[in-house]
Amino acid sequence: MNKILIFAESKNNEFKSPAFEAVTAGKFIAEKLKSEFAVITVNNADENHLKSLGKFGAKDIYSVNLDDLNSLSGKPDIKYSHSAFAAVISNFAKTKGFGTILISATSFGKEIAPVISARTGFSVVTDIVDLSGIESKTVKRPSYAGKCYTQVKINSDNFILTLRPNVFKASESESEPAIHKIEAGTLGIGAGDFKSYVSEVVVSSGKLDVAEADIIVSGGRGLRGPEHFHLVEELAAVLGAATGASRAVVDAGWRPHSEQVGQTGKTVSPTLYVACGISGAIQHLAGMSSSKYIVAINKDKDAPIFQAADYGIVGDVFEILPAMTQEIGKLKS
Amino acid sequence: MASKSKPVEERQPLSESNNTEITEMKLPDAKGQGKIFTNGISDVPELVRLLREEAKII
Repeated sequence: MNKILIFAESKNNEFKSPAFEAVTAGKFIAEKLKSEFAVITVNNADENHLKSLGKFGAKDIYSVNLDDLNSLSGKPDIKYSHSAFAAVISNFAKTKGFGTILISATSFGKEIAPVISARTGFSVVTDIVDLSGIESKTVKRPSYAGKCYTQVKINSDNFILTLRPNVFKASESESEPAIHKIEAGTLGIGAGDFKSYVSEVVVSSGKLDVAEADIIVSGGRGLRGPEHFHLVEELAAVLGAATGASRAVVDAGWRPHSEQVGQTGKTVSPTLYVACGISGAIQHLAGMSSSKYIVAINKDKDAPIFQAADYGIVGDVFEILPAMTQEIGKLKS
Repeated sequence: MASKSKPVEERQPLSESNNTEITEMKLPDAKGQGKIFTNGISDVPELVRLLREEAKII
């Protein structure tokens, strides 16, 4: 059976939950298919950070230094290049005989997975939410913006799977990993592999990214104006949550697009999603209906969001939100 | 009019093996009716209690 290669995504040289989830899922697949697995990373992380993947069962970690990789581009202002990352993973997988590649279905993963597929000829199935049928090479993914689920049978020997974040819970499984440093220059990468590159990264806010958060408090048009979003932010603060927004309020310029949840925004699967003053248009539900628990607060008892909610209060967000913040704050203290 | 007179070349689709195939499509499992409270602010303590004790997420 094919060996499995897991790409562990990092941000600022640190691994976050999507990487740990991918390692956990890779270990699960390897056990089911009686195969071997290894992890590849491309960053400037130190050994301690690389070893953090060992907590989730990674035994062999292949580390490509990002600065070394970037030096092959000949560009002085390069931060990173998706196409070069894809070239590294593709070339490494092919030369080392990995036939299955796992990638998180983050924005980054969504960009590199099809490039790796084109480079390697491996088939690709994206946004997977269930691997229980992997022994028969069958996986489950949402279709039509989450309105239904599709079972996909993989007929090829070699394939790439991208995993929806926050679906496969990272489970700790201590191991002492071996770190293998890979010289980027030995992977056959050249300046031509840097088709495009990022030269500057401007951080818009230091807030928790809505796509990575385990708890999200989202606001909609029911908040009546951007000046009232502090109510959402205060509840998010006591919950340790990220703040999200519906398309209507993003379109109105109340909140940045980076917070938009829904079909034209981000797809999220947190443990808890609190929808405040959001009616629950089908486009919004498409982005959050796979949340584990949904709490709705809306003054319209017929709002569609209540059909999707596990818990809800019919009432005025201007009264409910401060009361919830206070009540949860009491518990936390 | 020139475009209408331009001949259209007909080609047969390539017969490639399917690397992946959809074997089943189904709707998400029906979600049970949630617990929706209608007394406004007075229901907040009960909602928070359920989130803590039933859902165990706070």
